[in-house]
Amino acid sequence: MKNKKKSKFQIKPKHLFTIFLIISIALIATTFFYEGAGEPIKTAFSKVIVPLQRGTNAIGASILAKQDEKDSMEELQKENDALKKEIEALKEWNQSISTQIDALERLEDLYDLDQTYKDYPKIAAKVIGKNSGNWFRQFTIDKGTADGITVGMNVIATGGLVGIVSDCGENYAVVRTIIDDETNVSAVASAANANCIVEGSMTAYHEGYLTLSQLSKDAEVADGAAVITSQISSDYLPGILIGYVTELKNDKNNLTKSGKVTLAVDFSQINEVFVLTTRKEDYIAE
Amino acid sequence: MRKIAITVMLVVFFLLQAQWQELFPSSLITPNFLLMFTVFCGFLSGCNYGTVVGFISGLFLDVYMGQVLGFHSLTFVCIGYFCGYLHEFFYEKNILFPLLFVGVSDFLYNFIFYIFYFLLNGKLDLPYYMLNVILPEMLATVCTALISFHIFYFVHSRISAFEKRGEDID
Repeated sequence: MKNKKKSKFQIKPKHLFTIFLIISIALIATTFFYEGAGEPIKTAFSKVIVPLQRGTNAIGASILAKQDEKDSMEELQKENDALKKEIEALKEWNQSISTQIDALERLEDLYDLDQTYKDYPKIAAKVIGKNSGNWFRQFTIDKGTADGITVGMNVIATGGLVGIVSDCGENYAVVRTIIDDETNVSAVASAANANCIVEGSMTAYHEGYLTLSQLSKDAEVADGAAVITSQISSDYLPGILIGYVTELKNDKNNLTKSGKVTLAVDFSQINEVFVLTTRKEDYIAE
Repeated sequence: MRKIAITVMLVVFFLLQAQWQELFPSSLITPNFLLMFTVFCGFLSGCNYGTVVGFISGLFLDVYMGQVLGFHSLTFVCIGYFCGYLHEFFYEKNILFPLLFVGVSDFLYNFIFYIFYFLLNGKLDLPYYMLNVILPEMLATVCTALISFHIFYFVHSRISAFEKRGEDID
């Protein structure tokens, strides 16, 4: 067994294994029972990792930008076979203009949003990482406690509610989206002002919607009615758009209705988000 | 030498896993690079490396996912240790064996994850999660392992040669 003397460790593997096993179990126990016990570890890791993530993100963005450029060039060439003389000028012109238009459109979108939710003070942030595993639907943004972000703040993007800050370090924050399995939002179907619950789930999101439940049977809610966050929610500020109702059905208990909510935000294309710096607690206190 | 190489690769694999969806927005599933790396380290470098790498990469994931710390490090330490145990029986250059274990441990890890985070939350639809998360991830991870094993093995053999040379001088 021990004829391979490659490793120069003095410690026996068995012992090393036991030590790490105990550390892991201790970690689980402490962080499970005492919230915030893992903060020092998280801060230490984020100090190293977040700058690196920003770097790789920039590389990824430039690769994508190059890909886009290439695609649009090819299209242009096909369309302008007859105009070969003009093509050089067109290419240049198109490139510079298209990037400008993209930026303009994005800014216009953001500005519209700013108008809709202008009641709440907010911070703009960039998404620097998305779900590292396949189980959770969450992402990391490049602002943290140093910029005034704390756990429990709502996050919106063009269109409506995206999620809530579930974890926060000095220079990063993790946003748990409303499509995550662990999210429940207390909401209101706008036209009838009827309370309901909007739940995220992986099964539903794969089909492109969220599930809506516990809507009173008597509430007159038509398909397409907007669903917004409710006053009575403990975590979410009131009046933020979540999506639109479809496929309402009476439940078996004959007291409530349930259905689906089509999302207002395109979750596959989130790049910039706004963090609303008013938390629900502060809002209630006001 | 080996330690430096492993540290660098660990960070690279973590970044790849964390940024996968950013770099390739059209991909549906993220391969589990860190798990693959842990298995490789265990297989090629032994128990001690497997355990330590498993712990650190597990902690990376724990911190990144922002849940209770320790779940990933616990499972990864176990995976790293057992793969390190198999290091003794590992016939070098035989790619099938490590690949098989990448698949098996990815499956086990995801299955345990499902039990703790989903089944206990009352989400009983196992076939759905099996088809949409566990099996695709396993497939993706094994495919990535198939490609990266050669790179990893190359680095490993270079370092081994380097270490042997060092011993001769001593």
